[in-house]
Amino acid sequence: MTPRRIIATVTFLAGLFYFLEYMLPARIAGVTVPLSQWRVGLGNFMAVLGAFAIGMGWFHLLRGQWRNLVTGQDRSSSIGFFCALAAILYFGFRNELEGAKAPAWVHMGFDLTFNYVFMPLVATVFSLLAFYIVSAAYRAFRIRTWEATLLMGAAFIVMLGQVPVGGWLTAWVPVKWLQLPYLGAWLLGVPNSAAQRAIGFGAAVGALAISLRIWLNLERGAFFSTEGK
Amino acid sequence: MAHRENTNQGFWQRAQTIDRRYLFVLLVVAVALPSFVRISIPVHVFDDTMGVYRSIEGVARANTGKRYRKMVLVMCDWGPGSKGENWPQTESVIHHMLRRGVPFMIMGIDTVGPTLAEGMAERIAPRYGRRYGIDWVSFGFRYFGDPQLLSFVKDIPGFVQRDIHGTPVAKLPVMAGIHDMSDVPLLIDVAAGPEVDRWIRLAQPTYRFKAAFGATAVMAPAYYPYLDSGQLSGLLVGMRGGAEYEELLGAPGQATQGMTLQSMAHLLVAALVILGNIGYVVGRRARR
Amino acid sequence: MLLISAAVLASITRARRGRQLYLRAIPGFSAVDEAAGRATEMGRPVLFSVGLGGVDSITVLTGMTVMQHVGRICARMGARCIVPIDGPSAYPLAQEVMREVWESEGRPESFRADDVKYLTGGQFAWAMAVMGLMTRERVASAFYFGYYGAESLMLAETGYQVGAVQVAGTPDLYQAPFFVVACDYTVFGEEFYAASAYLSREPTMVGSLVGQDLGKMLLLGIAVAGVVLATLVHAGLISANPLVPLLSQ
Repeated sequence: MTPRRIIATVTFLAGLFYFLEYMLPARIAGVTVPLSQWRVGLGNFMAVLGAFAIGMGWFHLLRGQWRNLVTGQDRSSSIGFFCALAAILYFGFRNELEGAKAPAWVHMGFDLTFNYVFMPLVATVFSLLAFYIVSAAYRAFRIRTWEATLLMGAAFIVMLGQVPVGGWLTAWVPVKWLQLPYLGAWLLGVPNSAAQRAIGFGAAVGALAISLRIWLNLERGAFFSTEGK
Repeated sequence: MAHRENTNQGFWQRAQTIDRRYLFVLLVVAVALPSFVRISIPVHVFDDTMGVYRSIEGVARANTGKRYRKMVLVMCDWGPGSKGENWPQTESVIHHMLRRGVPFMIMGIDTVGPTLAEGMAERIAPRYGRRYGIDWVSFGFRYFGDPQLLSFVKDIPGFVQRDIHGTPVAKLPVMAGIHDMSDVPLLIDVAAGPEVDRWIRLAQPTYRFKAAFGATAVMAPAYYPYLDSGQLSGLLVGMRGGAEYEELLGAPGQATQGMTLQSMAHLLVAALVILGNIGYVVGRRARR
Repeated sequence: MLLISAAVLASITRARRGRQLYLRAIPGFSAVDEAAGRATEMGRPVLFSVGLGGVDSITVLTGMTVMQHVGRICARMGARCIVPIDGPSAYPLAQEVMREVWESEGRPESFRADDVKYLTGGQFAWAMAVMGLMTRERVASAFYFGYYGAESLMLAETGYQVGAVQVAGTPDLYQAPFFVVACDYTVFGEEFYAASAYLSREPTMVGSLVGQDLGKMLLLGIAVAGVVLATLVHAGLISANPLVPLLSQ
């Protein structure tokens, strides 16, 4: 049996298990279907596989950064990488394993690396998005066609309707459903909902088709066999 | 006239290619303004937020007089990146459940969200005389792919086994009577990604629980079809959802303050888009 | 689900028997070859990102089929193709795909293993690393095919700043608006899953695409029938019967 054939067989059996386990009732004609009792064990097995995958990534990262350090290419970044790695591993493990028994400086080190460096860094990077949105909006939103104009109008209504200032700006409008919050909610709940459903249908069918191809070993290209090979 | 038109075109042309750093400065000014000028705008409560509120109230009413109380599962699948939106949402629902005595369990697929949620519960619980292990419990971060989700909903104590302090589930009074997802009538998933899809797809048809979603504002439009079909009983949309919930609880906090800032930012973006398009139209006419 | 699956499998069978099937043009895919070629002319590298997730993610696997195609063009024309990876399990697969591409084009010595990089598993740390990579390497073309979160606009804006031609493909809608605004070509929703069919034109893939369309028509028919019946019930013209709740679920 070739490796590809083994992979295809394992893929098919794994997919078949979950498909049958989901579709079949717990009991058929008084007989318990035994598939469900395997679910927990299989789930734990896949979690362990995931942990191995993290190990693979670590190995490549360490190897690449070590090479940079040794060859002198971008050495400062690699030094920063190893220092941060060592700090967060040391404080993280000691804080977790020793808990309350760890000395105060270990808790402080963990707080510093995780709560006062890592978390603010992530939040800061995410907040860059606000600035990028402003520059992208100013640069790209142009009413070149009538569809773009329609889109612009809808965007204005929803954008201002979602914040309190939209309600404040149109509080004087006597017809309630013409006020920005209500108009925005209608746009989101009706036309947007219909469009999302339509695109969702297509994407779901596409995902079903590609899953079917992988499950039945019909996928071609890249890491799968090409037609007739 | 021609000279004035050329000057205008020059100005609008320059405005079209303005260095984006000026725009960044304008944004900073707009967002900082409410810190110096007191601006208070009332928050409108949308139906999607009311849906979450009513779902928790429903669990509270159903638990009245029961020996074994049903629990709410709060999945905190968010990290520091979406803290601005998901933190107020999580805090508000936890506040509501602690106030009404609805028992809940905290879990998450991110390392940060559950930790922050535990801190919120520890801070708010003493106000209402609620205690860990009796009124709420945390199972912390769990690796939670589809197979793990299927395992969890089938046998909750068997999957989680111990809480974050290492206490076995059997020794936690709040988990008495909880076997599988049929004992959890409400799932509140506060997430920065499409995590609630898996619950709706894999577990909800079997266990028929209500699901509420605390989404970032970017993701929320994709979940209105779920609200429409009843698969989601409520939806908290970004920081607005948190602010509306604070309004419902009568406890204005971080989100309510943030909505004023967000209003300024949205007004700025609207103004810039209008200016950009004026320049575009002027330029197009001049080229003709 | 069974009906749609049957439609897909039947179409695949028809296609394999030699029947020619029509595919409409999708500008995003037509631009892939052009964008990759541009990088060669400018002597600058191409960046190809398969987005967030590991090998268990169907979007990563689909992105890799496009990556193989782009890699083949780069190998043929002698351009570098940098692949920043987020999911650790996707890294060895990406390495292997690109190595095989270079070998099949007869240029194994030109393959740079370091161009396929596992950067980090953290979403924003990965995004910052990719932004730095794009700025330092001054990529001429950037391809984003996969699942992205909030970092989509950051990557696209950085690509715009360095003057890269950008082609994006994502199956979900959350980040599609940001890609549409900042990229030159965007492919989203089901078009993303059609990537392998468009680029390879292999009969199995094209047949699958046609089957998908049949499946969608079936869903549309069911939706229309449900809407009509629900409207009639709501108007009191017919009484609700077991069929209506079944169709409306």
